[in-house]
Formats: sequence, C-alpha cells, structure tokens
Amino acid sequence: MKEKLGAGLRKQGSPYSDTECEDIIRKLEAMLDGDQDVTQDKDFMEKVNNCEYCLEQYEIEKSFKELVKAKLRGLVVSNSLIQSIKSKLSLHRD
Amino acid sequence: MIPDETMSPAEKAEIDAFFESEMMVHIRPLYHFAFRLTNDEDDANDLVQDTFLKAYRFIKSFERGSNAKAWLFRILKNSFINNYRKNSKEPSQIDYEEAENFLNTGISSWSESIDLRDKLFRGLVGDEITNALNLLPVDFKTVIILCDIEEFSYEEIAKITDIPVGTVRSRLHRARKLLKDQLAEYARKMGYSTEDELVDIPALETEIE
Repeated sequence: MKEKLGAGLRKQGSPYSDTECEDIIRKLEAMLDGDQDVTQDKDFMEKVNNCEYCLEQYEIEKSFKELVKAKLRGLVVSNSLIQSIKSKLSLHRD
Repeated sequence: MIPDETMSPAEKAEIDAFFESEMMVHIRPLYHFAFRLTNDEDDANDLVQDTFLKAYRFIKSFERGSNAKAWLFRILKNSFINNYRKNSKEPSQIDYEEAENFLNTGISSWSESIDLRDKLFRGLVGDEITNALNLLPVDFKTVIILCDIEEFSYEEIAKITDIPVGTVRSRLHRARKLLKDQLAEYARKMGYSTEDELVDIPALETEIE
C-alpha cells in the first residue's frame, strides 16, 4: 500500500531542488546558531545574500528559533529547592 | 558528601565559597532543563538537587576556569539518563525510528510555507510549543533545549551530550524539522493556513508493505 508522508504545504518560487533547499535550511540554522563553519563559508554567505528565497527562509528560521526560546522560558525555581540544596550543602560544612 | 575528608577547614571554606558563586548561580537554567526533561515539578526538583549534590561531591574534578554551566548540565543529563528517564512522566513520544524514517524522506511540510509563518506564530502559545517539544524523542528534545533555550555552542552541546559535533548539527536539524512539522500540523488543525497561499507539491509516496 502507498501512504503519503510529508505531503502538503510548499511555497511557490524556490529556485532550488528539494535536496538543495534542505541543505540551505540546514546551513541557515547553523548560521543562526553561530556555527563558524557556516559563517566563514564565503560562497554560502554570498549565495544567501544574493538570493531572495534564501533571505526569506533565513527570516523563517530566525523567527522559529526566537519563538521556541520565547515560549519555553519563564519557569520559576522554587525557593524551597534553593534552600533545600543550600541546607544540605551547609550540613557538609559542619 | 564531602569533597575530600582530608581537606583543611580553610580549603573547605574556599571550595564552599567557590561552589556558591560559580555553581549555584546556574540553578535556574538547570531547573528549566530538568523540568523540560521530566515534565514534572517534583522530579525536576529532585534531579536538580541530585545534580548539585553530585557536583559538590566531585567539585575537585572540575577544572577551574572551564565552563561550569556546561559541566552541571552534563551531570544533570547523565543523572536523568541513569535515574529518571525510565520513570519520567513523559507523554507518548514520536517513535524514534518512525521519526528517522520520516525525516529521511527529505521533505518538511513547514520549510517552504513562508506566508504561513506570521499566522502560525501569532496563533501559537507556549502550551503548543511545549506539547510539540514533549512529543520529540528525548535526544532530540535535549539538543533543542541546549541550543535554542540555553544557547550553548555546538561544541558545548557535544560535551554535555557525549556526541560528536557533527551529530549535534544533524540532530538539531532533524529535531527542528520534527518540531516544525508538529507545529505546522497544529496550525493546520486550527485553520491558520489558507489554500490560496500554498500549493500542493507532489505527494511524497513511500512504499509500505
């Protein structure tokens, strides 16, 4: 039997093949992560800077990274945990 | 629980002061990490406490001047793997092998849906992101937390998770792809996408026996 996987949404206008797109996205992610292997890759950086599609994709990846960070922060550490740890460590000092 | 029974009171006082100023300051990100891994407040508290007690016990093996936060994260990650993973209150996750097979097909339903972005981002709240993250296999979830939330470098993540830098790169990409697909799926269900902005691509067909 045949089953569809991963079908669905795709923006028109990419000048690249699926494999090329995949590689570009991987590198854009690494670039946003501060990976110097990518930021020092002059050919790639030039390609991105001269490609509207890549720049749009860069913005998507950037927004996604910021979204994850913003939405998953904000947990509060209980004072009782801090006190409990300090108390156990203080005991060791006696 | 004492780093070294033979140490002098002065040495111990110095170690205690060092521990408080260099280690305890990382309790908040450690708690975040623990909570994201365990999905349970009590388990997260226990995991963080275990981490600090272990760190204190082995403080002499910490190389002064190196990254204390990464060192603590590594201890926490190992404690989680050894003690908590089996019992953690995780929701049922995407099967790792299934995820790998899907990802190896090479197409993400998110990556090209540029106009969907604003609609999707506006609609999503923390709960959806958290739920989507929790569905990821723990190894995938871990690299996303370490990179996107805690902003560790690839090299630091490699040390914390005991995997090569190249694997960090590929695992992160795959983890994000899965997370995006989870969120895109959620957005579709909530009606954030519109047909006229997006076109169907030829369905990726996989033979399943």
